[in-house]
Parts: sequence; structure tokens; C-alpha cells
Amino acid sequence: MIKIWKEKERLDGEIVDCTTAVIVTRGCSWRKCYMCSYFLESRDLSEKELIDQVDAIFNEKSQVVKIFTSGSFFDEREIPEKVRKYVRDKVKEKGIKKLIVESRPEFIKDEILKDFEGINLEVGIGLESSNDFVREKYINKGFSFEEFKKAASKLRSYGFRVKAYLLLKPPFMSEREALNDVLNSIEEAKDLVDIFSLNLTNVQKNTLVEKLWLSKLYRPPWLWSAVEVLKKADVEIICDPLAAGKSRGPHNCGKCDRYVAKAIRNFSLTQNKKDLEVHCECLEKWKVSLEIEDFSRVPLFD
Amino acid sequence: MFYQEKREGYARVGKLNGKRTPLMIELGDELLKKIDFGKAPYSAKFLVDVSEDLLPKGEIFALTGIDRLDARQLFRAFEEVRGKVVYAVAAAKPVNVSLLIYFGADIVDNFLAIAKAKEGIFFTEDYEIPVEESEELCSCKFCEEKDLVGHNTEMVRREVKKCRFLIAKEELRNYVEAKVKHNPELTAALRIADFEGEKELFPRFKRSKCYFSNLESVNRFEVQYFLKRAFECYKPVTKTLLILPCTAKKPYLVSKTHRIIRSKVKVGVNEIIISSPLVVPREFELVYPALNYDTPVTGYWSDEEVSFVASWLEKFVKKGNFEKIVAHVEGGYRKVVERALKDFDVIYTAEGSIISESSLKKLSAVLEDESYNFFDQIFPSISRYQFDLEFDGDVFGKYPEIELYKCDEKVARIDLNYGKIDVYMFAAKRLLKEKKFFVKIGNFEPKGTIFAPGIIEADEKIRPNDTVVFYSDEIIGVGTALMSGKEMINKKKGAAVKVKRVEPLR
Repeated sequence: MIKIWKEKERLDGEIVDCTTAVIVTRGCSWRKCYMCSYFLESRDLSEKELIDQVDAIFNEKSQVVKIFTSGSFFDEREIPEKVRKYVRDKVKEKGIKKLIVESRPEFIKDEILKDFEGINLEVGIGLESSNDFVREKYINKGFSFEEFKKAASKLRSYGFRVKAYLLLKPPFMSEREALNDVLNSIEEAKDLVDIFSLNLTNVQKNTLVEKLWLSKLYRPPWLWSAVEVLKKADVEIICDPLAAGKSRGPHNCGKCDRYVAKAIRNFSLTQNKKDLEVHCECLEKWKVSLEIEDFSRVPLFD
Repeated sequence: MFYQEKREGYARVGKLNGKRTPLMIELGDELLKKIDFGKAPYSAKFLVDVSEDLLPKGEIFALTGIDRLDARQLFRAFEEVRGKVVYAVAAAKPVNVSLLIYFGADIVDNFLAIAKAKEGIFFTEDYEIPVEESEELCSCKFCEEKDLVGHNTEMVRREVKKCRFLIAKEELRNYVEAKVKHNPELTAALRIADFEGEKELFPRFKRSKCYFSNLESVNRFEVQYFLKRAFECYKPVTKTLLILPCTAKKPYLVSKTHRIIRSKVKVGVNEIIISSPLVVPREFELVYPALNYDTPVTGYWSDEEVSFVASWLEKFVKKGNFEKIVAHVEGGYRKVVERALKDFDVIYTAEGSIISESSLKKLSAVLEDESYNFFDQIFPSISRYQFDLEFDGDVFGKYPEIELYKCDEKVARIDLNYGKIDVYMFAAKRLLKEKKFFVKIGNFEPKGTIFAPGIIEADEKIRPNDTVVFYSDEIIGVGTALMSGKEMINKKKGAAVKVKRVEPLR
């Protein structure tokens, strides 16, 4: 059930150890996004079972702890108050230097944030795009940019860090539209955001994206588009290209995927643009896709 | 912006911003900026729930994602946007572009030509092959410069140009039938269109030869229409029926065999000529496609051919009150008659060759002359077929170039280019009186072509290539329809009627 692994994370410009955990909860309350089916892994658990998962996380020694629920850490239907406070106490007890969690904006409330004062907290919000039309029509996210901004300001007012997830290539967008939308979103949100995390759409089971993909009407983004975003963005931005190289994940031609994905991961740690100097002959195809998909509205290449 | 010049079924030629359509546009074309491609591909509506406001819209309608559709969905997509300027986006390859145009695409592009080139695929007229294996296959200027995008684009462009030519020549159907043989999915799409498509835009009369080379040929609109309509309009009168085989030369009566038979035997009875896949009462042999077709003749008849022709022959025969049926046929033709007329006593008169002395002697012996002259029945029969009314009178001319007169006034002639009747003022006035195949125009002097904006009212039954009578408060005239009657009423722009003759209305 719970998945825990060690990885590297940036902390004040340093690269440090991080314990990352995906804990099982009753899942996201919204669960209507067109690309997401993480809620399929959710289960109704007792408080005891949730606490056991938390304990497992803090058994590991790390400076940074990242807890994902595939939903909202601050949603009390997922993480009851008692468990949330238990996490806070553990962070303090173990001297964790940074806690990273995720939440939809509607759960980011004063009464919850107060409990975390004094902790170096970073909260990731799935903004996906700063464009309300994109977020509503192509993603079905269920909150507005305004709501995001309010939640982000609130977090900042407590001195917490804001991480914004941006989605590269929601359904119904051409490769170029998707690329430009992310760049535009960075521009529009950067004043409220400490770090961006670029999520490359992958094809999850039983989603609208999967239906489109099965009919060859959708293709996950090229890794080249991710590279392009990372190159052009003048903000702190990270990207973990999940399922890179797989047909359900972001991919290039099949030959260069591992190499390009590795460059993206390296850059995420170093923030050094030189890490992004990668090449492959399939760049040609990507360029053609950028040009034609605006019109074709369907992918031209596998 | 778009101006339709001539319709040929779903396909048409025209001009878009001065450029001839069907048109292939290339990536970078200014026109692309003016089209609303929508967000979701059009084909998504067949496959997922997609909100209407994400789909393409506009007078130039971008059919996107259609190469992902199956044969039936593909055709349905075209049916749904009929009437708009249709742009089949990122769908054209040399092998399928003629079918897209046949289905009604006014615009195609070179997007697949580019994408395939980037994958190292080389286009030929019908096949896609790896570029490494394409040496010596082409010597176009693009290939000389190793420009694969240029070459692939050129291959699509050539097909589009060819289609434009073929629509003007009314030959597109023959070409498409041959082309779809390269791919079962394309063949399926054509068959589905034949069975399920709305046919009001299809001409009944054409100046091109109808080839029966394929299984699909039987399903052509003109063929289905001919059999059904000739059957409706057939009025046999004699007690004896003579059944004859078809001939390579058309009309049948000018062929050597039919001439020999007539020179040796007095044929004063109703005749039906059987062919594959047509059954043609003599009175209708000047009607398209009976007048102008070719079928592969081998002497071998497939079971489908035999049963198809037999079923129609039976229907035609049963329309008469024949007491005696003489079948001067042999081989496959005889099989057809045997299958069709199981319930009749048929006298078979051919032995070996149908023009051998013994065959003709036998025929002569059983055929009673009822003094029926089919010559007098040509105009009444074809006018029933074509106009739903009867023109009669005195027939002059050398068959098949014949004309109909009434009280010294010329009524009509047979138009041997199209296999139909062409009418003069006498008949035009009658059509007008009966409100058949009429086109009411504004008070202007029509010259050359009448355009759709000048039309006030039109008979909705009009199909392209039909002979029509147009009139205003001041004039009456005869012309050839270039679009359907409904299009004449609904079209903002486009050529509607080609003027043949006009005179002041008295």
C-alpha cells in the first residue's frame, strides 16, 4: 500500500536526501480531472492505519520529507485532524528541515495552517494552468486561478513555500499550445510561487485522456517540449518525467528517451541549464508536430 | 469566398479565393490562419463525450482527426458537414485523397505528406514505401534534390489536380472505384456511402462512360436509379416479348448483331436487352448509363451477376402481360433467363451463335409480328423517365440521332452525350406549365451561366446535369443544371444553370 522511497531534493540550494512517501488515504475528494485516476488506488482506512503509515515514513532518516496522498493533505476526509497533527509533531520531533505536502486550494485554511507555524512547509497545488479556460475545459480541475492565488497568498502569509504543479499537454491542446500555456502560466503565477513542478501528462487508466489516446487522438507530450519549458523558464522549476519513454508517458522517438529524461531529472536537481543541452534526430519530428498539431488537432507521430 | 462551379455527386469543382478546388494547401498557407480548427478533433465526437464548443466550426469546416475513424464514421463525418466548404485536415495521402474528394472534400493539405517524410516514408501513387527502397521510382525535381517532403507533397498535389480534371470530365467515380481497391478500408467506405448515403446531389445523366469493372459498380447511384426508374416508367404493350443479349457497341441497336437480327427477322414486339448488371427495355437504351457503359465480357457469369440481373429481369417481365416469351440468348444470358423466368414457358431460339442462320430461322418462326414500333415509344418512355410526363409526336432522324416534332415544331431531341432528352420551347412551356424541372429567375437577361443568387425558386427534384426550364417575367429558356435544385435555393454563390437556349416569353 504505502510507497516510500529515498530521493534527492533541493534544500536552500543544496542537494539533500529526501524521504518521499505516497500514503494511501480515501483519496481525492474531487476526482474529476480528465487525466487522473489516482483515486483508483484509494481505500477507506482507519486512523490507526493512517498513523502506521506516517510512522513508517519517519522511521527513515532524511532532512526533507515529502508526503503525497494523491489528493489533499489538508482535506480532513483524507487526513483527519488527529493524523495531521501527528505528522506535524513527528516533523518537530525528528528535526525535519522541510516538509512537502500537496493540497487543493479549497482546503488551505487558516485553522489548519496555524498548526504548522514554525515548520519549513512547502505546499504543492495542482494549478496545472493559469488559464481558467484550459483548467476548466481541458482538465476539469474545479477551481479558478483566483482561488489558487488566494490560497498561495495565504500560505505565504504564514511564511510557507508555494509549489505550483503545471500540466504539460492536457487533452485537446496541440503540442505548441501546451508548451506556450505552461510558459504563460509560469509568467502569470511566478510572483506567488516559490517553485514550479512541471508534470508531463501520462495516460492513466479509465480517464478521458486514455479514451482519446486509445483512439489515437491524444499523444503525451514530447520530452523535447519539457526540455524547452525548462530551458525558457527563468524560475526555479523541477520536473520528474513519470513513465518517460513509455507510450503512455511523455516520450520522444524511443531511442533518446532515457537520455533526455535523465537530463531533465539532473536539471531538476542542479537547475543548471547546461544539463539540458541534449540532441537527437527526432527533434525534427517534434518541430513538425509543433507546427502542424495546431491545425491537425491530433498527433502525427507515435 | 467559395464559388461552386460544377457538382458531381458529393464532389464538386469550384473556386476558393480565386484558387481552384478541390485544393491542396501546404503548411504555411495564409488560409490556415483564417480557419477555426477548434480544440478537440472532430472525430472525437464519434469516440468520446466532447463538449460541442470545443469542436471546429465555421463556413470552411475543418474535419480534423478523420484518418482515425472507421469507414462508416468517416463517411458520416462528411455527411454531417455537407453544404459547407469542407477541409479534410491531415488526412490526404495519394491513395485516399480521391475518395476524400469524392466524399466532398474541397480542401486537403500536405500534413501527412510532411509527417510521413519525416518518418522516412516515400509516397507513390498508391503505395507507401521506405525511402531507402525508393531509388529509381521517381525523377521529379524534388527527388533530384533529395527533398522527400517536396516529393510527397507533389504526389498528393498531382492526385488533387487529377481529381479536379476527373470531376470536370464526370469520371471521378470510375477512378475512385479503381483506387479504393488498394485498401479494404477505403473500399468499405465507398460501399457504405453507396448503401447509406443521401443521393440528392448525384446526377442521373452523365457524359462519361460507366465502367462495371467492380463489385461496387452495381451500387453506383446511376445504375440503381436507372433500374428502379426504368422499371417504374416501363409500359410494355405487346403479347410477345423478345429477350436479347447486350452488345459491346452502344446503343445496342446500332451494333452489328442487333442489326443483323433486325434485318433477318421482323421484330414488331417489346424487347428487353440483358446485360450485366443492366436490364434494358429497348425503349430506354438511349438513357444513361444504358447508352454509355462497358462491362468486362468473358462469357463467365458469377452467381451474383446472374441473380442480380435475373431479379431485375423478372420484375420487368412481370410488368407486361406477355403471353409468349422468346429468349434469343445463350451462355450466361440463358442462365439469367432461366433463373428469372422459372414460372414462364420460355422459347429459346439461339443455337450456338445468335446470328447463325439456324438461330435466326428459329427466331423468325416463333416471333409473331405485332406491328409494334419501339421507335415511336422512345420519346414518351424517356420523357416519363426524365420529366415524369409524356412527350409524343413525330420522330425524325437517323437512329440514334433523333428528334421529336409536334405540328412542325421541334419538341425535343436525344442528347447522346448525356443519354437524356434535350427540350425545345414547345416542351419547355409544357414543363413550366406542369411545374416540373423549373427554375424561376430574377428579371435579368441570362447569358452563358445562371448563378445561384439570381434564382428565386427551383424544383427541388432537380439534380446536376438535368435538363431544366428557366423563366422570368420576360423570358423562358432551357439549360443544364450544374447543381441540385435544393442547392439553387440555398446556395449563396455558384454556377446553377448552363444556358442552352432562351427566348422572350410571350
